[in-house]
Amino acid sequence: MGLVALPERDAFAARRATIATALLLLFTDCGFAAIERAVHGDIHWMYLAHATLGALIALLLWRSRMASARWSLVAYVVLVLPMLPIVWVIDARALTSGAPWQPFTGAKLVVLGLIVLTPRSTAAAALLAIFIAEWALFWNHFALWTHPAITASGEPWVVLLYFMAGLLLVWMRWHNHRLDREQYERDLEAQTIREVSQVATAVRDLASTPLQNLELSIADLRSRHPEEQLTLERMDRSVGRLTDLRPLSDKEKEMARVRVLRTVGEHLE
Amino acid sequence: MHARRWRFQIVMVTVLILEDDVDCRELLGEVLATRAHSCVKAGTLAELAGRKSEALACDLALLDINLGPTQPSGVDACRWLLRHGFHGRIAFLTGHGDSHPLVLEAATFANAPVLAKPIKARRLLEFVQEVG
Repeated sequence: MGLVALPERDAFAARRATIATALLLLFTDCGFAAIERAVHGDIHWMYLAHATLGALIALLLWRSRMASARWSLVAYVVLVLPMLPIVWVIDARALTSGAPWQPFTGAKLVVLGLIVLTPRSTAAAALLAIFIAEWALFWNHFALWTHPAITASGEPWVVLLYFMAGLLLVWMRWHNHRLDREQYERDLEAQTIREVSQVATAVRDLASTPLQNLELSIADLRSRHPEEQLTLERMDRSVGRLTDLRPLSDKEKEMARVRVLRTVGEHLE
Repeated sequence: MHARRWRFQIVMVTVLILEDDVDCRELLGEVLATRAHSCVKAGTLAELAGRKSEALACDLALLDINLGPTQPSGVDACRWLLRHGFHGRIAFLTGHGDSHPLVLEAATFANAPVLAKPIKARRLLEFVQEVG
């Protein structure tokens, strides 16, 4: 069974992760909207807008099965970036309302989502950095170090711990992905060598009997027409060269292997 | 001295040729005929079985290993010959590499060399002469 090409595999994984994220956001936005309505008596338009965006992206990606990894990543970023104002607004609203508040629940959920669902680990690290920058801005803007309820709940250390753990997990994802790629290269190399070897063997096997026939025909001609020495010698040399090509099959295998490795290397770069 | 003597002594050998390629089979027969060897030719094991008495009387059996995808192999033919009391020498001819399963199987038969195609006519005649 052949290996699925690396770009196809990446595209499939990115599309699947982005659809999962879109659906997750659609349901959480709807859930938070319901909670908002129960608590405050109204629904913030941002939840509904973001839920609609999630539904649209999920639908678009579901329909376009050939979406590349890059397009899926763009769609993912488009889905995640609106979380910046949403998290800001939710936290600011909770903070200013004076009601009991579990600080930065939204930011912590976003961190977990980014770790698990971001199609590329480098993109996950970049998004984590953006969200921690926003959180730092929020902390500074509302001068939360003077807020006794928040400092009493262990902040800012709890959020910082989330971000640090997030970065560590993203690094592990990147490392595993690299190992996975190396294994893929080895599998691809082994498969190519197997295929080249099969072709070389088939060519050698198919050429053997015709070569044998030529060899015996020349011997037959030599016994019947010894006067055609020059022509017979030329035929002998040609058959000899064709026969000598057969052991080249091993060299051919090696050359093909080098070509494949070079192609895989260029592709990965 | 000994080598010089046998070179001039032509011993007639009856050779069983089992080869699915018609051209190759005929050419092998013609080359052997130049040294007055006689041949019994067959393309498949079924043909060989049809000429059982002639085949079993041969001094040497040259068996192509691969007799076609739907046919019993030269290894099967070898087993058939041994089962029916063939007393001559057996040699395999093959275009396959040493690692082919049938070649590996053929190599397990004692005193039955595996000759690689293409074999030189001179080498083939020398081999047949050695059998004689």
